[in-house]
Amino acid sequence: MINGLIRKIRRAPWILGQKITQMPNDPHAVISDLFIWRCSQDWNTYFELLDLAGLFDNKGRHQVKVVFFDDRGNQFHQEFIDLVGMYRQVLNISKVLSVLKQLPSSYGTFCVFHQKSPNEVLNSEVFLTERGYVGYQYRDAPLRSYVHGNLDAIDNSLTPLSGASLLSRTYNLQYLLEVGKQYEIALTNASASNKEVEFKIVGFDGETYIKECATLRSKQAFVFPVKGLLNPSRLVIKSKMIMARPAVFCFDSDSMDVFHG
Amino acid sequence: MSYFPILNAPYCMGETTLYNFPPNNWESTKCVDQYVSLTYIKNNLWHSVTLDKLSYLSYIKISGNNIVDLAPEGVLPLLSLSSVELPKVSKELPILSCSHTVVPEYRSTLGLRSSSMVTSYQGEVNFFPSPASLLTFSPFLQFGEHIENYLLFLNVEKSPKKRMAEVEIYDAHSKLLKQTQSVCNNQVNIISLDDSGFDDQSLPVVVCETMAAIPFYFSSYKKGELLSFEHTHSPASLVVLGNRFNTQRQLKEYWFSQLKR
Repeated sequence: MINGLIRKIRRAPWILGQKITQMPNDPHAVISDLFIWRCSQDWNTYFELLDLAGLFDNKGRHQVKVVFFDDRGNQFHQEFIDLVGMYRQVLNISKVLSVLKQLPSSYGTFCVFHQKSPNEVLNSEVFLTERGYVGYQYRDAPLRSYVHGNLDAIDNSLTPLSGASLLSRTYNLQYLLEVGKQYEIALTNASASNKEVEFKIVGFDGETYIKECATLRSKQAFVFPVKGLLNPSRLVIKSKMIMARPAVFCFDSDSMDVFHG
Repeated sequence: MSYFPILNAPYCMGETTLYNFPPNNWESTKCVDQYVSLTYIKNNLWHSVTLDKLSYLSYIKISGNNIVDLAPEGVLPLLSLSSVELPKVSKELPILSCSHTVVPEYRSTLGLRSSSMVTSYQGEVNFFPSPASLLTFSPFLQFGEHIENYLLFLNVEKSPKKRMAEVEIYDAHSKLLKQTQSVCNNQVNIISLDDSGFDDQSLPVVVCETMAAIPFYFSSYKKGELLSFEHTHSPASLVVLGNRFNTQRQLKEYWFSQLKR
């Protein structure tokens, strides 16, 4: 019993008031992940739109609002898109952004807000959330590499929903960074405040090979490149983010593979 | 604590990398060496063999090739980490004695290696209740010359007794049945999706009313020259911050009643 109490006391500074996802102020809010878009000569990004209200048999034409942020977290574009019901609908992000004369950056974040929350969701006191699927095409490859969303990052008033940690947290990516491959570690800040982040590439002998610090503004994505590794290594991310889970782009010769931490 | 399967897919060999370090610094874990075990089914019993002892802050990569002499052909190889050795034979999947984390889950790298590239997923598997059901919407099919698409239906249950189920794949718009396939528990069941009549406008719905699974989608270009690999969400992931499983139950009831067998 005493051991249990000690465990609880030790754990308190890590959990009290530090939920991964804070409750939106509006009980009818809808939520989205903060997805990463990449558009350049080498990159195309696609998003698999699903009519979530339609999945619940809510009749009628539904829409999503897609909001784009640049590589500093500043909003630069938004668009309403009609959903086509129970068909597959792929949003070509490069095409959507081609209406702009010039992109502010080659990557950034975007979120997808469904304009209709299903009646079943509203009645159940839960929040509809878009954690959908992003496809990345690298150098016009015939296959896209997909990654799913998994963070309930922001609500439709554009309020970030991740809180801040009282203590610095270490996120140890359980992944082997291999010699001869290159990586781009992409991290988003889904909190309302700036976050200091330390990226470290550490060998299995404990030695730090690469270290980089960055300040991530709210809604910003940061891409940390890793190349020229001489030894098998791992990634350590230190910050006051509650969940600094990155997406990892892995390059091996001409192929690219993306996955979540 | 979870198991870590060695997957398999057309043109690929599975390889799984285990890590003896926790993914974070805020959930209490033991900094100890751990046994690496291989667990598989033979004669309707779970069999476990110790492969190695993994030092703290180390990793080990194990491929399908490494275990061909240890487990019968065609079984699902499950790897694990534990502070004590597993029983050699058991009637139920052994409960692992080891550190456990939740935010995020303690993960391994589940890779698929062809002669040209590796695609991977950060994952783990816990046994599913039996019986249980699966409903998921799957916009991952890729189209074009030399492209093949597969569903990898991964099930693990506590009992080693063989049982079968039917996976049904429907078109979300017409709700018509497009394909059925028998699947086995405690297996990676590989289902080709290329002859179901789906096109790039179709949204496939994957249903299994008596067996739960992780539904992975695997695409290959030119017999493994390029690979793509990701899983879809369960309906519970469409909502957050409340009773998500009530919403999942509602969605399953609706779709199971509407699909035209």
